[in-house]
Amino acid sequence: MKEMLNIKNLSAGYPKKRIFEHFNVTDIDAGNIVALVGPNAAGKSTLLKSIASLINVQGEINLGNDNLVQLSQENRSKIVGYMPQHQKTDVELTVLEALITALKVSPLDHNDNSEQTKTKAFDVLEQMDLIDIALEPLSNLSGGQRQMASLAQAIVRKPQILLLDEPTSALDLNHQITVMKMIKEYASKGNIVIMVLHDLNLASRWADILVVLNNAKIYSSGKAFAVVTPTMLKEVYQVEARVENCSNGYLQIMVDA
Amino acid sequence: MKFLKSFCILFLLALSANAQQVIIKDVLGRTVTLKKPAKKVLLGEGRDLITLNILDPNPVNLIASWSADFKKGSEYADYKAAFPAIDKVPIVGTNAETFSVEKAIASKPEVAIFSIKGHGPGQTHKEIISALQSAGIPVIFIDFRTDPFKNTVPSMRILGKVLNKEKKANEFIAFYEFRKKRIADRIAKARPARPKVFIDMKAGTTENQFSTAGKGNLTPFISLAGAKNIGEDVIPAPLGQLNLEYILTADPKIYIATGVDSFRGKGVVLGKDIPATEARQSISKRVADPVLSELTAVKTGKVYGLWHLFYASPFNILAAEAVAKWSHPTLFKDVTPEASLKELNQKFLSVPMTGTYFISLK
Amino acid sequence: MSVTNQHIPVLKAKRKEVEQLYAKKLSRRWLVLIALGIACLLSFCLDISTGPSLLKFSDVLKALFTPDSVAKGTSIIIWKVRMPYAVMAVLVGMALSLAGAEMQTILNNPLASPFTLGVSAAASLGAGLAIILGIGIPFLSENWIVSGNAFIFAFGSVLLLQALAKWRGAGVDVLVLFGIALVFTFNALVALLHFIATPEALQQLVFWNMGSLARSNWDKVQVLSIVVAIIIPFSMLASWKMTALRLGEERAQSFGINVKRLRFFSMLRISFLSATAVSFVGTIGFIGLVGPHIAKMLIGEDHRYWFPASLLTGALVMSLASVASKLLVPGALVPVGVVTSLVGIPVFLYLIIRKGKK
Repeated sequence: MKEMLNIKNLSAGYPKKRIFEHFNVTDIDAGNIVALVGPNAAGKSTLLKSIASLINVQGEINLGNDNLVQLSQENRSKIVGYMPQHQKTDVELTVLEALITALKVSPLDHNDNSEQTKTKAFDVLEQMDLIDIALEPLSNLSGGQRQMASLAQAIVRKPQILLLDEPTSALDLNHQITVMKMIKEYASKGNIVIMVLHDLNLASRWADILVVLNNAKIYSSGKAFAVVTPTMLKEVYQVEARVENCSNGYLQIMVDA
Repeated sequence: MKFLKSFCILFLLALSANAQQVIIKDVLGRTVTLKKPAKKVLLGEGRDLITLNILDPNPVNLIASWSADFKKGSEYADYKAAFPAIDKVPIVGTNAETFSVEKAIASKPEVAIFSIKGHGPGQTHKEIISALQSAGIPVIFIDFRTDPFKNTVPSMRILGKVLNKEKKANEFIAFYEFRKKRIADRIAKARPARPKVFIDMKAGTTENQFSTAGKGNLTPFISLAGAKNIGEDVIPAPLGQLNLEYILTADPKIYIATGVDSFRGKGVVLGKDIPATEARQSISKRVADPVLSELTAVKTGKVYGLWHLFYASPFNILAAEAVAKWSHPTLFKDVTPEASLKELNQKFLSVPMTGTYFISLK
Repeated sequence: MSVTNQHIPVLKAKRKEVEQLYAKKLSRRWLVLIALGIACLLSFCLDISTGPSLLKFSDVLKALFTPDSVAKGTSIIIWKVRMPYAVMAVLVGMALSLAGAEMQTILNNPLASPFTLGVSAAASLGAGLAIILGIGIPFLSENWIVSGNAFIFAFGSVLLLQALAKWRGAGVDVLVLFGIALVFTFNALVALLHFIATPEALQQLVFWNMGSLARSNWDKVQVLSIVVAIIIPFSMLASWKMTALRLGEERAQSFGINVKRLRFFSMLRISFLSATAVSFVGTIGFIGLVGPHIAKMLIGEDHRYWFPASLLTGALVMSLASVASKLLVPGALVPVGVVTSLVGIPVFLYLIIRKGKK
């Protein structure tokens, strides 16, 4: 299970528009959390989708000896889970039904009996403190609740690689921390989490590796201390800012302008 | 004195112009004034060419332009043989939707003759009517379809006046009224029981569809003939569809199918150049329907056929004669619609109607 | 997640409670399905026992179970007239409503119905060619030419749409636009047919378009029931994946679902269901839209329940419309297509208003 993720020579994009050419991110260890950061339109979501092979990709995404690109969609879905950035708002399914559906179409879980499925679903609901809204239709939820429910749909299938597109964008401070703690715990079981984040403080605080994307290319990558620098902020974001070391040991960005 | 003389001439001229003026009340009660009788008309329904043939041996000469519906029927070939010019008559459309006001005006008719409802523009097509009127083309409505029992004679009278063929029109009206009165008098005197009649219009053209006359159209002619049309009580419009179950329950004693030559291959055929054997075959096929074959009328062999276009033609009185004879054979022993048709051909139609227009299956 | 120890008992109790509520909800759904089934059965009985001949209910029952014990006319009315119409109503309602439900999901559009993408417009064109020009499939008997043509065109239109979508790699929105383009094209071609039609044939086509159960007979009932019986299991097999598609196309894909394939087979099912139904009875509007919506209000969106509920609501609405069309003008034949629209519009407006309030 303890396999490394290596992305090599990845080219991806849409039928008429290539986004990435020969893209490489290597040596992502099991248990790591990777944060993709960068300005708007840097290609963060597209990179996430190409790792999930939701768009046309060439190249290699190797987990151990398996090239995920070569796998069938079904087999890939046993390994890779994905939470899209936007959730549909007109869905009448309840939070619980959505989780049960996610399990029932999973090649790993679809043979479960209904009791097993229900247990798996309720475990995740409990873990994410969603029991209270389990029987609410998704269309009735607030944006934050819907985001939590969406995360639950990805996590319930227990993918080895969990891809999250802005999992905290609609959450209040308390829920941001709840979600991040849960993600940390999930990764610590030997899974890899790759997520798009806008909040650099949050990324610095929780991610093991930060990848800064700019114009569909990697500007820099590595530990927060190495990556989040005033120079990067100026060059990538065009923002004058200081990066301070807080007493708790984490980075804090102070914008001057 | 000179002044008085010229005044007199002017007055006489004006008088003679007035003398030519035609004032008409059409079947909708609209008053229409023509400066003089028309020589060229726009025909809203092409099939009324036969109606015009009652009034004039060369009806094609009377048409400025017309609707193309008549071109699909086989009568057209006969008219074409007699009047080759018919091919050059401008066509203004095939129905109200395709009616071209521009072509109509360009054909310079002196008057437009429309049916109040039918296959050409009708009374509801206000835009067409007002466009023609503003182009100086008065519109006159006739009717052989909605309430022909009331409107056939007035319509013929109107056409006679418009075309200055009143003599011929009156002759036809006499022919018509004589037959109408003959039936009415005998029924009134004998007061026979009224057998129930189902008139299966356009029989067999669409599976399980039973078009029939309701209030209006041929129903009053069936009543005149001393019979009871089962569609009368349930269909509020002149024409409509009957529920099959209702037909079974009403269980008519007389079954009449209507058809025309264009239904060949689909349903019942009668009319122009149709041999009696073919007409009989088509009707037999229709009444072999698993449900219709259960009707008393079919079981007892009281199965007949009529030319479909009697439902929109001044010859409707011939249909009444046929129904009268079929319903009360002894009472109308001496009346034969075939003889009336013969008289019609001799007295009125330069292009005779030949073929099977009435038939008994037995 | 920071679940401190003292919270655990509270949470366990809560979980238990929600689990019970969920179980209750599931059994309520079964109850709704059973109730709908009973309502369909009652409506079917009502359909069989109403008609212009005002047969006594006891005679109806006798004709049903001991056809020899009643007058021949009565048994003909029941078995050859009312029965095929009533069964056809139920089957057509099922077929169009299920097709509508599938369509709403794969197009991600609550306003979609089998007619959105031109199925009925294509069927009209096929029927029109047969009625007006006499163009039809060779060797087909007279009674089947119009239906045969309508089916070929309706089915072909869906395949054409698939091909267009595949060729351009188009998404759902483009698919809908293609469909709308097809609707207008077919309508224009039908209008062109109107121009060259004889008046009698034109009336026939207009009537065909209104939709009528009167075109039913046992052969057609048989064909449609086979189609419906074959398609339903496939729809049910796809129900989990279809539910997943409701969560979003990307999400479904990430679940390992081949969405293009799912959509293609759903389209295939839709075209079989709607093309067969429409080719037999003509254009019957709103069932495909209203049936699934009523079902959704009653039972939610879990397709395992929503599909069967749509089948039943479609059958129920159609069966009631059939009764209404008989009662509206007794003895005359009011095209059932007209009645379904009249029944459908108030329900539809109610849905819109309800949605607006929300």
